[in-house]
Amino acid sequence: MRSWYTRVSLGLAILLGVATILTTLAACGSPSQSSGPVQLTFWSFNQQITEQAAIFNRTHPNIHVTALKEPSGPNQYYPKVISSVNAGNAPDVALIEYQYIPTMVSNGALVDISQYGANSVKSQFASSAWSQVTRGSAVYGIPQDTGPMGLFYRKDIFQRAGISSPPATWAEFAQDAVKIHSLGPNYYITAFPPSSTGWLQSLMWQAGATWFSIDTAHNAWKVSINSAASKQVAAYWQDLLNRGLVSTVADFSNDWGAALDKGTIASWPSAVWGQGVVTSDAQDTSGKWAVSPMPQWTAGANVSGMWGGSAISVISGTKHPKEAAEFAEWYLTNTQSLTIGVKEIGWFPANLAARSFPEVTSPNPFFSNQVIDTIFANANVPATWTWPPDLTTVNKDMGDDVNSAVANKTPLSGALDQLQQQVIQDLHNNNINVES
Amino acid sequence: MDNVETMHTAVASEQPTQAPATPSAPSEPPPTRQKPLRRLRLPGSMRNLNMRRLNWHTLKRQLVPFAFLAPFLLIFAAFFFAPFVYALIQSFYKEERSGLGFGPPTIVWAGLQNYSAALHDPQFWDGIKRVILFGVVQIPIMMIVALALALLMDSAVIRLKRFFRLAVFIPYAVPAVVATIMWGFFYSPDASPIVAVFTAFHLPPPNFLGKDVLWSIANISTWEFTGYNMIIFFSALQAIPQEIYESGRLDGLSELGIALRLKLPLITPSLVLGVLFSLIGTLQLFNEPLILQRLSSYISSTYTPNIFAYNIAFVETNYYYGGAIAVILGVVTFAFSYGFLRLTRRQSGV
Repeated sequence: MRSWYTRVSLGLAILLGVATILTTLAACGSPSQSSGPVQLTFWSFNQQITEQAAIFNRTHPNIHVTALKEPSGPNQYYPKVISSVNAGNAPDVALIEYQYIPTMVSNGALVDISQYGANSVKSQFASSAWSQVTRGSAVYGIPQDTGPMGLFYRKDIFQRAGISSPPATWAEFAQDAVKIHSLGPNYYITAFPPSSTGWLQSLMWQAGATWFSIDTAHNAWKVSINSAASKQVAAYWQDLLNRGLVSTVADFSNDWGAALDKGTIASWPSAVWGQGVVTSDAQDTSGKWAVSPMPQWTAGANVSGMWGGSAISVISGTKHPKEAAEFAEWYLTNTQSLTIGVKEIGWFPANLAARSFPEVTSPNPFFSNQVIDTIFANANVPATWTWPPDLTTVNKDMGDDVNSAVANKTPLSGALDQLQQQVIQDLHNNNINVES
Repeated sequence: MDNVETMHTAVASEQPTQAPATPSAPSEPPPTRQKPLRRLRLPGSMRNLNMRRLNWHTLKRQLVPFAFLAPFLLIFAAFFFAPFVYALIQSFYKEERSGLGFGPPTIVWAGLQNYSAALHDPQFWDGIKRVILFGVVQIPIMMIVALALALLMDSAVIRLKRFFRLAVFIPYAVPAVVATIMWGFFYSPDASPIVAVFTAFHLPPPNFLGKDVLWSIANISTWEFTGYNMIIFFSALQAIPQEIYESGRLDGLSELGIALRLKLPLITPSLVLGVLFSLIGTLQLFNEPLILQRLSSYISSTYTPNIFAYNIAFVETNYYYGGAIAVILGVVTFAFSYGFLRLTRRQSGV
C-alpha cells in the first residue's frame, strides 16, 4: 500500500513540476521565426487605427501591421513606451505627442528616420508641424495632427445667462464667469483641472511664456517657469478660483463629461482635437455647441496656444526600422488613411493636402453648422515654446504643486516658483546643463 | 493579494532563526499549533533517517515533498525572488546624461546615493507617517468589527449564518480597483447618492475627497478587508472543541463570558495573524489612493511610499531610485512585522 501511494505521489509531483517548467519556458520563449511578411506593432491612443492598419496590410503584402489601442493619459502612456524600450519589447511604431518627443529622444527611445527617406515627404506637411519632429538634421517622426486652441462653448447656456457673444478677451471671460455662475451654484463657465498640466502650459504658452529655452552659447537649458507671463495666467485663474467661479473637477473624468453634457460646465478652452471629446462625452447636446477663437490677453490680438498634436515615430529596438518608417510615411500621406484620421479620429492634419478634405472644410452640425476647423486654422501660435528632455518628471511635479495649491488654497504663483526650483534640481541631478 | 504573498515571505524568512515565531494556520487548533510547523521542517521520512536505510527507496520518499514544492519554488523564484534581487541591484546604479540631455543616458554606479536621497527626502517620510497614522486608526477599527462579526457568526443568536458570512466576505472578492472606482462614485460631489441625500435635507454635504480623504480611503480598506479577517477569526473559532464551552457553561459563564473569556484568548494567534496582514497591507497602500488621485487634489504623487516608488520608477522612469525606495519600504515593512511579532510573542503563544 505504502509503495503504491509513494509511487503515485512521486509521479504526480514530477508531472506537476515538469508541467510548470514547460509552461514557464513556453511563456518565456520567443515566437518562432517565420518567413512570412515583416511583422510590425503599432501603438496609438487614437480609435480607428485598426481600420487604417487593415488598409495598409491589404496594399503591402510584405509587411503586416498590428495596431494596438493603448490607454492614453500622459502618466501612463509615455512611461509605458519608455519602459517597453528598456525591456526590449517595444512597439515598432508609436504615436508620440510633440511635447514628449525631446523626452523620448533623451531616453533613447526614437529612431532618426531621416536615413529612411523621411525628408522626401517633408514638403507635404505644414512647416510648423515638421519643425516639431526634427532636431538638427534628425527626423524623429512624421507629424500627424496639431493642437491649436480655441474656445468650445455651450451656446444655449451662454444665451440663458444673457451672454450674446463669446468672450473675446480673458477679462470678458471673467465677467461671463459671474453671469454663468448666477444660473445656479453648480454652474461654472469652465473647469480649472489642477492635474491637467498640458492644458495649463498651453494657456501660459498663449500668454507668451516660454518655460524652456536653450542657451546655445553655453549649451545649457534656461528654465523660466515662473516668468511674468506664467504668473499673469496663474493670477487670473487664482482670482476665478478664489471667487468660486470655476469648478476644479478633473478634465476627461466622468463627472466632467457629465457636466459638459448638462451644461454645468459651459465652456472649454481646448485644442482642435477637443471636438472629438466633446462630441463623444456630450453626445446629446448636438447643435448646442459652438467654437470661438481663444479669449485674448490684449483686445484685438489673435494669439493662441498649442495643446498636444502628435507624430508617428519609429521606436528604438525595432528589427525593421525601414519598414516601420515606410508605414509611418504611408500612414500620414495616404489619402484613405488621412480620410479616416480626419473624419473619424478628428485630426486637424499636419498634412497640407488633407487640410482641404471636405471633412475639414464643411460645416459641422454638432457645432451649430460652424466650419470649426477654420477657426483653429486661423489660430496664431507663438513659435517660441520649446519642450524639455524630462517632461514626464516636470508634469508629475507640476501636478503635485498645482493640486497642492488648489487644495490648500495657497497661491498658484508659489506653485510655479516651487516647480521652477524642482525642475532645475531635476535637470541638475540628471547631469544636464542648466542655468540656475 | 500582494499582501498575502509578502506575508508568506516575511514568515518564511523568519523560520530559520525564529523557528516558532510563526502564527499557526488559522484552522489549526491553538493547543497543538506548533506541531504542524515541526512537521513541515522535518518530514516524517527525514526524521526516521538513518544510514542503514539510506537506499534509493528512502531517497525517493524524501524527494517527494520537494517535488511537490517545486512548482511553488520555481514560480516563487521567478516572480518574487528574481525581481527582488533585480531591484536591489538596480538600486545601486543611476542614469546619467550630459549636455542638453538629448544623448542616450549612460548607467553608472551610484553606491548608496539613491538610498541616501530617499532617506533624506521629507516626502518619503511624510508618506511613511501617513500610512502609519492610517494603520493606527484603521486596523483597530477593522479588527474590532471583524471580531465582533466572527463572534456573532459563531454564536447561536443569529440566523441565516451562511448568507451573512458570504455577504460580509463578498467585498473581499471585489478587486481593489473596482471597489475604489465604486466608492469613488459614492464620494464624487456631483454623482454621489450620499451627497444627494444631504442636499435633499438642506444639510452641508460631506466632502469625502477633501483634506480628510485619508479616512475615505480607510473606509474603502475596511469595507474590503473586514470580511476577510472575519473569515480568519471565524474559522479559528470553529476549530475550538465544543467541550471547552461546555465546561465554561458548567462553571457558570454566560454566552458573553464565553465569547470574551474563552473564545477570544483561544483565537489570539489568528488575531495576531490578521493584524500582521493588515499592517503589511497598510504600509503598502497603493491601489485605492492611486485611483482616487484623479478625483482629489489632496492625493499627491508621493502620498504613500508605494505610490512614491511607483511614480519615481514608472513616471519619471528612474528605475534605480524607485528600486531603492522599494527596498527601504521592504525593510521598514519587515521591521514593523518583526517588531509586532516580538511584541505579541506571549499572546500569540510563540
